[in-house]
Amino acid sequence: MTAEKSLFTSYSKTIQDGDLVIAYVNPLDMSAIHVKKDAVLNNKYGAFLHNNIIGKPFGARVESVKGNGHIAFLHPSPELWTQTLPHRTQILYMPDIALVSEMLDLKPGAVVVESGTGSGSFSHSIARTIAPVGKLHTFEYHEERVLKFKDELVAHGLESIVEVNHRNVCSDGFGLEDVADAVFLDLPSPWEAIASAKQAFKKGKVGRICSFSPAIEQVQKTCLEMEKNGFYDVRMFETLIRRQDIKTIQKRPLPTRDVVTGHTNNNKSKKKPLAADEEKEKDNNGEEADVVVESDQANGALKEGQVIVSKTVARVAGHTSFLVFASVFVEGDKAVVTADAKTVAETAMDLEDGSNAGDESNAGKRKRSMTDDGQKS
Amino acid sequence: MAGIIEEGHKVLIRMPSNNCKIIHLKSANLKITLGKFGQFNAASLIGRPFNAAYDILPSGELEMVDPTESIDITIDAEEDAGNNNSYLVARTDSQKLSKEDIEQRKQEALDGHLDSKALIKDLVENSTSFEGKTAFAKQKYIRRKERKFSKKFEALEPSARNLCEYYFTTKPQKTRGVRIDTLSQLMCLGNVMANSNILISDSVGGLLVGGLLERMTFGDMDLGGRLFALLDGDTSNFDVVKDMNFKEGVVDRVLDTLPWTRIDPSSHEVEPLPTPDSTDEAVLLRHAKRVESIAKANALRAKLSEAAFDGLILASQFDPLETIERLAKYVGYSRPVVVFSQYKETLVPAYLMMRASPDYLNAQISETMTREYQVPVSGLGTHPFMQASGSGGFILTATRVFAGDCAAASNNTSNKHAQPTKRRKL
Ligand SMILES: C[S@@+](CC[C@H](N)C(=O)[O-])C[C@H]1O[C@@H](n2cnc3c(N)ncnc32)[C@H](O)[C@@H]1O
Repeated sequence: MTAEKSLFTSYSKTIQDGDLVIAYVNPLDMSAIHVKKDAVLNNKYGAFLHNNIIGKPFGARVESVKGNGHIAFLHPSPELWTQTLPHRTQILYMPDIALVSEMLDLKPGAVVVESGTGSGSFSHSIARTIAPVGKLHTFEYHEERVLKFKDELVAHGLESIVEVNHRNVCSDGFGLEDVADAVFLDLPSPWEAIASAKQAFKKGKVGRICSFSPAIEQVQKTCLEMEKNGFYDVRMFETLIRRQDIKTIQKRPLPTRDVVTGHTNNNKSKKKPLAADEEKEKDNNGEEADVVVESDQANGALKEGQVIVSKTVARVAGHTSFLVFASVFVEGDKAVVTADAKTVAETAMDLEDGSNAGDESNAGKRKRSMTDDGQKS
Repeated sequence: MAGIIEEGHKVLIRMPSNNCKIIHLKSANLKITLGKFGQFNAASLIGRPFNAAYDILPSGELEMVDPTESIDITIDAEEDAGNNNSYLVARTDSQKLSKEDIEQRKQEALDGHLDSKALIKDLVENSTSFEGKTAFAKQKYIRRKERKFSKKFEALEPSARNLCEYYFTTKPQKTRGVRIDTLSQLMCLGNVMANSNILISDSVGGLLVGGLLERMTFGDMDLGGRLFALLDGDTSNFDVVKDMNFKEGVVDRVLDTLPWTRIDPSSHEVEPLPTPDSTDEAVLLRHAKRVESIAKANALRAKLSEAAFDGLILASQFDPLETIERLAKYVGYSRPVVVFSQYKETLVPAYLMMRASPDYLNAQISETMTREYQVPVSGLGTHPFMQASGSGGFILTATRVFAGDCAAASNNTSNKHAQPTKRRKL
């Protein structure tokens, strides 16, 4: 087991000087910051002294200096990192990350080969899942991305688990043999890396591969190349997460007619819709919006005429990417070995000059294009 | 990371018909019978890789084969392009072999005197309509015959992934419809690390326990991770775990269990039991056993302490709101609460409570749509397709936080800052 401490591979209870924390304002406003004695975090909710954060439990809500707002400081996790990391490329998000990890049988001790590293979104998750005894070999041909990711690994205490390689895997291959349990490809032309990926697999066992591509033409070429190289059990998935929007609304009774005046009474709620919903009202093609009410939800008490409703939130991007999975067996003459527990060298964490990841914000999910090599526009 | 098959292992066998069954290689001397597909010697599977395909030879030995490889009959797509099904007569007329002939050959194949590949080839060569079929139809014909007569099977590792798919397609009620994408998200959203200490409730046949154990173990090495499961009944019902090949002692070390009904001690568990006034050995033995069981339960209860756990993951048959209210205090700050349910409605009251409480952040309910596609290559994809339409279930997530000094002021501020539901545009 490793003696090195990474907040991505083990939990800590108290925030310490130098720790990476996630400043959480709301689901769309989170940032990753390195806590540093005497530093100040300024945002539109006020100024937050790092000294007030140090020593607090992870997950504490902390007041701004003027007391006009508070935000929570959360323990980092690969999922939160994915939502806060500085985008250097397009990245993988949780639903794809989850499915790929499961379908590639990732678990402690697994040796994984990945290309390209991109922004390291998936790499962090892989590291968490295979630690403390596994190893990730990740490959990226864009030098600056390699260097940035190297810095992150040091700042996040992951150097003993992750090794970044500066290499063009399509033209030069992975240069690995008999090491991998799983290979993950997120490349513009994954088919060019299949043959070399096969070499990387452990011999005498069945390994798993996944290729992630947005376009069906890429999938086609990749599948053919997989078939040519003896990969089998080829399966393709697409996965999308749908958030549920849940609220309490006022039921609308049928209109009635005033028997005296003859006027129609629309039985509109007297209550004005909440400000935020006015926008929604306009979107509704002239139809009147439902009246959302703030009920005393804590004890589930609904007032007369109220009902709790839910609907699936429509997502703009209807399609992300295709995930192609396959198995492969590489014949080997050597005796079967079970991956031996690696003794990982002790590495001191240098958090002082960590990256200022907190300044960047999540640019949101964008549709990938086939030729895009991931460069952020 | 599929492993190597060892004596004593369970193996999930997928037969040519796509039917699956779990076999136990109790000893190398066993003969394993796969019904009409024949039988083989357990010894010939031992030492071989999991997740590979094998063919039963007439001797009962196994040969590792390429699972995609079909019978050796060349199909030329271009040459067959002009063929179509229009002049096919009723299919029964097109086989030159008589029913009796086929039955006899089948028996020979079953007894190990005839290679199943030879049998299928025979059938194809004696089919008068085969030549006139389109390439696609030819492949389909062979595939159909293979499903019927082939002795090729896949020896799958009984991993959480394979068992999840197995139960989802065959007995979804056993695992309450947990689909592989949902299971995978429980692991991610729960930030499961090898050394996590996680509180769980599993009414999904042990699939959740099994999935977590996989992510927290490596051979028999102790990675520090622990699971604490509250049991629906008096004893655990984690069948799925029994089918997974964890090394001996690993499950006992990592997993603690305590029935729901025993979270709070009963009065006789608090006060020491009076020593029985008897010299009867049976009575004394019974007393000693009770004392031990009480001590054990008390030791388990001691682990259920305030903020002790790195997460709460539920795939339970019980009401989520009640369950969360009961267990939340044991969850540490900044640790995830993740709840699976087949039904969105059962999650809603828990969601509303979390939204209104200063003790939780970012409560969300989501559903995942996962679709499997036919792969765009030939000869592959013998899998049953994952149901595209059905639901894989719903997940409620939130993070437990330390409201601390802000607790009092939280109701207005948290609505303004931490819970801007009205401004969300997802
Ligand atoms: C979309 S990004 C990967 C994102 C990554 N999966 C993540 O989650 O952050 C693709 C990356 O592959 C890199 N790449 C493209 N072709 C490559 C090649 N032949 N060898 C190595 N890296 C390559 C690109 O520079 C880019 O950074």
